[in-house]
Amino acid sequence: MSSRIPGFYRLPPEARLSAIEDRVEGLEACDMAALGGEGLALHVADMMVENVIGTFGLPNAVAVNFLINGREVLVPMVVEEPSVVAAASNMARLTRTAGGIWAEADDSVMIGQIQVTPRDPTPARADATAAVLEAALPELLAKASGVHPRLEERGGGLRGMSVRRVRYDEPGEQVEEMVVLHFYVDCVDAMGANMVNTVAELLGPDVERITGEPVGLQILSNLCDRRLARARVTLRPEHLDHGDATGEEVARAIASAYRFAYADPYRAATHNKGVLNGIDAVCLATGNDWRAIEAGAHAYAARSGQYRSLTSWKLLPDGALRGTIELPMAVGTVGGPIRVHPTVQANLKILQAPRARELAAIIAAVGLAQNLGAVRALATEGIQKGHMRMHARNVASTAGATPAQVPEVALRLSEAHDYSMDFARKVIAELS
Amino acid sequence: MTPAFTGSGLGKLIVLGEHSVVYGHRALAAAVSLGTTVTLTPRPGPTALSASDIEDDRLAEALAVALPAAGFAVDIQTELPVGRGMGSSAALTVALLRAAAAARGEAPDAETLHQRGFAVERVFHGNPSGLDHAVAASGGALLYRRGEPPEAVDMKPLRVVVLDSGVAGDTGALVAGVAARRPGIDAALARLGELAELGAGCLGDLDALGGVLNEAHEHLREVGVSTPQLDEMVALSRSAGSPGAKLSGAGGGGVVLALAGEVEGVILRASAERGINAFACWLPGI
Repeated sequence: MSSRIPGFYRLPPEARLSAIEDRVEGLEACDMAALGGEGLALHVADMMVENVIGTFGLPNAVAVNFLINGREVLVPMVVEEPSVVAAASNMARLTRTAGGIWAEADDSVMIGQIQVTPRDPTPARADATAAVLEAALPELLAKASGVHPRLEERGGGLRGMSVRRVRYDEPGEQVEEMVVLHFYVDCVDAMGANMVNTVAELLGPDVERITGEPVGLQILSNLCDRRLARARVTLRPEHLDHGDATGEEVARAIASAYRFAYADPYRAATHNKGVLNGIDAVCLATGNDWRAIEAGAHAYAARSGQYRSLTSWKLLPDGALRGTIELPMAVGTVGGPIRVHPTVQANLKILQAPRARELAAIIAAVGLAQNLGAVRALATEGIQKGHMRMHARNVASTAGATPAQVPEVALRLSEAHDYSMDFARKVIAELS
Repeated sequence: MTPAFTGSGLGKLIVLGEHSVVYGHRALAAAVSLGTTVTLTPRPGPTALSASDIEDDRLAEALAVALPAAGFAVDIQTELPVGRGMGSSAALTVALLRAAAAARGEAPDAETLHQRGFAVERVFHGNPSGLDHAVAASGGALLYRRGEPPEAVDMKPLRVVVLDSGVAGDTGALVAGVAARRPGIDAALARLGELAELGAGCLGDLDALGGVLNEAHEHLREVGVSTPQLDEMVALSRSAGSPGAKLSGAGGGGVVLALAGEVEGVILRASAERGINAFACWLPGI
């Protein structure tokens, strides 16, 4: 199967769907009907959330051209914003000439938190509570192991615990010391929120008994930094030639755009929004909780204490441009709305029924491609404007403008988007 | 001053194809820029060890097989961790044979060393595959299939970080464990063989090679030879920015091989923070 479908964007939607059907094995009549517009039935929607009055449609597109880890991947995307799918497909085509995008994901390890707030708010008391909890970790591990026997059969289960000290120190308020138990659960192919919360509820009373202090919240953390997905791509300058702009110029401009996003949170927010354009669209298409992904992504982007870019674009000594992305990626391929939503099932078949970690890697790759599309467009726009400014000055001076007149003539040419010699002569005549 | 004779042999890493090689699939091994040097200093009396970095009861037997019975003091120095699947015994074998040849005024070629090496390697491994001391003698990278002569592979020098688990895996038990899990894991073993061939074809492309190594580690987990500690070292390397990382050797301990890419320092620092012994070296190629 090739994810290259030349002219895909020019086909009518029905023909696109049948082009996908031709390439993807295992799409059945129900999948075709779901993709063709039948989608989610009202009675199923009514089981998913409360107070349902109908269902809501969004475009279900497919990004083509992706080559990820040497495999051809067709990527379903659900999104309302124009140009997202086109940019993903275009950047996928660009990266496949460079050997494609390489991606991988950690084990599906989620973090659960159990908060303990000692009654006595002194640091010494919290230290003592932390020490007691630390000493009891073997007991807690033994208790929590085997809570999800079916998960363990599939290779998942508890992956350890740790004790953290947290301090509430908002200016002007009473300082509060907390002890937080973290436990780690490999949820394999599930997003895992329910599994983690079950373990948290199971452990809560024991934590209270062991520490003798009240237990507060017990719930998963969306900052699942043990469940990261990463992708990378290396582009030679010749891959980046674009219109007037040479590949070297484009590579330098992309690297510069990255440095801006690394250094400035105001730019980083917009930069990362572009990354998430692609990521959220695949999450939606595959029935995953994109708010959880967003929360994890932004928290991870701020892990240094400053909100920064989720991707990086750096020039290598040999002139190549290397792009990387790393972010938490708690996505599942089983459970929750994934099982009941017929369009989600069809989209997962288009993705060739990936395991959760494979899906996480694909999503990271899409995020990187989406970001490349955005920064490349911004960068080349700047370069082209620069070229046209230079061009306008050349035309102005060739047409006979005096050195003093050149800036004004060049400005008028750019404003009129007319760089002809005739127009330049006319402007000079007016100024003289 | 009496002239001394020296010989050296390189260590190796299995880049791809461990375990699957037992079932007739290909494996890719490469020499590392770390090795073992043997110095023979002439002196009267029986040949005996004077100093050694390596402690092993079988050393005396290996000396007896490789060296003249009398006339030398033997000094062994190694940069290789022992018992981690990095070919320390093969490096020693080749170093001993080269030093002995130097004492006789010979400079044997790689093929001769390979043939003579079996007898010495047998002291350490009952039934050596020959791959280790072929690499130790020739350097470079070799694609190998059981029963066929190893095939040299073109490789530019490749920088890698080796993360040491500090534990020696029990190769025999690991091989037996894999055998017991067949045929359920046959597809994974076949894919590991394919990946060895794919990897041999993309040694110059860090992204592609990294992708191949990452996938190989998944299949090695599937065949049951990884450990949580090895998985952690692999995850640490990848999160430090390594394009690819996998266990190397029999597993159950041993080492993790991570492509250094641009992030050698990051991997080494992250390892040091977690108390993991890690070092960078070259796979020097030919």
